[in-house]
Amino acid sequence: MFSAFFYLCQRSFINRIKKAFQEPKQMLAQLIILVPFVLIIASLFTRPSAPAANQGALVLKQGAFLLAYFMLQLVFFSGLFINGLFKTSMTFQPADITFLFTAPVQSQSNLIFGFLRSLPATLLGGFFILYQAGNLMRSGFTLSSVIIAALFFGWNIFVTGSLAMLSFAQVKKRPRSLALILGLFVLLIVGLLLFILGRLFWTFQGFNLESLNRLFEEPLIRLFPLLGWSSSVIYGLLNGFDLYAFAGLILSLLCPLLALFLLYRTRLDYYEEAIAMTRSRQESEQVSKQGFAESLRIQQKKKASSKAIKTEGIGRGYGAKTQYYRLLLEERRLAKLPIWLKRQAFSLILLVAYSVLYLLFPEQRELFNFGLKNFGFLILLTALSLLQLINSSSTLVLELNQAQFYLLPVKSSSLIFYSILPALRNALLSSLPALTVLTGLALWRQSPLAAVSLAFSLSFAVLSLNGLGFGLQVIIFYIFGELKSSLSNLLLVLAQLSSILPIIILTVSSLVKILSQFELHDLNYALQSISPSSAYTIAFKFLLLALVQSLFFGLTISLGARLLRRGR
Amino acid sequence: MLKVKGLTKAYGKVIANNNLSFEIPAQSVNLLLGPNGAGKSTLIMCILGLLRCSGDVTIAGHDKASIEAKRIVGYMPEIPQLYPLLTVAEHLEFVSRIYRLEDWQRRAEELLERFDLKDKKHKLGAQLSKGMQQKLSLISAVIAQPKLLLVDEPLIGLDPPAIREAKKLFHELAEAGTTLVISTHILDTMGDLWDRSLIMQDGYLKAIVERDYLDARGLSLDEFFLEVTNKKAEAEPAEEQLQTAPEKEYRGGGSDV
Repeated sequence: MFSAFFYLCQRSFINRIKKAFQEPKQMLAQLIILVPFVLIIASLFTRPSAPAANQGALVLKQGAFLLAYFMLQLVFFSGLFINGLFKTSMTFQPADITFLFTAPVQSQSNLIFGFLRSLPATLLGGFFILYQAGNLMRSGFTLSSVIIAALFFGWNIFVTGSLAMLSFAQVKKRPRSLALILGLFVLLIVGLLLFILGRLFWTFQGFNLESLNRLFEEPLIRLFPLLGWSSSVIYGLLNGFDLYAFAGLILSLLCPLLALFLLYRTRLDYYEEAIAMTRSRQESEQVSKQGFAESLRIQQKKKASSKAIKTEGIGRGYGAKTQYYRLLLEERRLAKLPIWLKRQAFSLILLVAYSVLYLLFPEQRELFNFGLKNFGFLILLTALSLLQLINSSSTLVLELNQAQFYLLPVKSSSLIFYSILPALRNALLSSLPALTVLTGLALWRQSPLAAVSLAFSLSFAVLSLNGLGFGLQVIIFYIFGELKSSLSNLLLVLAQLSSILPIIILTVSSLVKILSQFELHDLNYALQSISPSSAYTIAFKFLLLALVQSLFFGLTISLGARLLRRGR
Repeated sequence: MLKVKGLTKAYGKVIANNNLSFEIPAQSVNLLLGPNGAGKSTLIMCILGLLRCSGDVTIAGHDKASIEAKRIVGYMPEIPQLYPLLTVAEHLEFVSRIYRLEDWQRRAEELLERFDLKDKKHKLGAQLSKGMQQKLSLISAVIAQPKLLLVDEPLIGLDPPAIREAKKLFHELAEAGTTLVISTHILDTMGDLWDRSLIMQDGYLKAIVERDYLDARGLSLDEFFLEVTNKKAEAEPAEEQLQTAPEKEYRGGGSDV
């Protein structure tokens, strides 16, 4: 049995290398992807260490970075664990179902083999950390500690997977234990977050380098399962191994061994879930090869397949307008709540969360005074734009990719317009209420008219952003005819991203301005606080932007009409 | 050889296999027939232990999940799934290692020659055409000389010479004493090479018929199949009632059960 497993891995590896040499184009493409990676590794060896004079400040920064490393892992591995609880974290190849699952081999052996086979690729999962090597080494990290941080991230992916599988086994044996496991997990995470917030803002009186470093030295953080262990080991590498670092190292190594041992002893019936996951992944890979539009169509088909039809009939509209009502009907069938209502709720939750933080931490208002109005606008606009991006990506693409769309006996420009209208309607309904609330909070007492003007112009700008996104889709379809090639798919995604780029740049540059300074007391404000007079100015600018985008949108409607007349 | 008792497989509210019970005698050739969506592939996967189901399945007296049972079972899936980075020859070597076969090389060469894959021995799984993948899948299923062979739509995708060879191979296996269960929705897949047919529809086992029964009445399998699957059951099973046995068994010698 072991010889068969070893044979499978050995031959697959050797044949992969041979295949690469037999297909030089593929090898070249892979080498091009590897080049930046290799350059980064090479640069690590030539980079000088940070000067010893600033050692005290460096230690503080190390603590802060390790805490960030801790939090990054927390976010990533929480999702991985919960997902693995429901769907198994095991990945098998489709051929394993035919050859391994039916072979005279114990299912536990197949499971352990599957885990070990995935280990090399998993260890590479943390290598994105190497892209930050320069920053880390400037902060006193050594080359070895950076590499170990990357390896530990990958190792923790492996460990999380094995723990998730163990929990999955427990849930399969006793289904009622799911609620208990989930509940314990959520309690653990919430408890941790409350501990961190409490320590930062109440005990240590502030969000600064020193408090971050002190927080990292808390025993609860340094001994926190997986995340704290790996961070402690790295800290030990930098500042000398202490008890926590030793404990972290031993526990990090023992934990997966114990998990795999327990898995081997548990007679887990996992084949059905593993088959479902494997087939689902295989389907996704096959669909993605068929192009962006096809993958959207399959997603929609999956969503619709389990829906019960409550009412039948489109009910309204004639000619090109039927398209609008048909799309509304489909939208209602795919989701319980209207899209625009979910987005409004999302935007308002963001606003409320921001306001709660502002009220809860009066000492930190310097940070939030970046300020409430400016930053709130930015966050909201970014969130809405991203949501609009998702909204605008599907409707027109699906329609333009279907042959029958080109055969409908209606005016082409009307057909394009009514095909886009549901998305524009959603954009307006999503953005207007939230923006009205925000501008109202900021300006109502001073000038209700300024508040309303700003709200409307911002909504119009967001609306016309959608139009811009659709316009770009039409252009790409006009050039390429259909979305099957990798190039056309890539251009579509880039085109849509570019339509929201100005807002993304504005938000990110503001965030970077804050984070680039570790001492957070003296801030440079990126934007002026909004007053009524500046509100009118901003409203006018956004209105102009919206008008330009709308003009572009109008031009692409006519281009779309030509596309329908010409055919793909 | 194969005993299935009360096998039920449900996906939520959809019952793919509804309380199926039947026995497959050793050294027999059995066709598992039914229209698309009848539950044939699901039944095969449940027998192999790939899907979780209720009921009992024993293979030569052993539980379906036991190593002893797996040692004597061969399986060919409907859609061939090969390792993209193993060659044709390496697939067979892998199977031989995992089944601990001895002197398998000669048999492998012979099968590769028969199915015109000898000159493709060094091609990777990902480089084979669909038909070639199907052939390799079949060879992989039979190289361990299983006592029970479960094949799902074995002839789809094969060219005419390969179809002829596959049928010949099934004849040889049957004569050598292998129990065959061939799932298909193409009724004349096996011509006269079958002893019993199990007819499924909508998750139910509608009938089991022996060839002698049809021969005695001058009926073709097509006619019988259409009659069984088109007529309504005298008493449609209510939702709460599960089927306890095939609706009817038709044995040679004129007896209906």
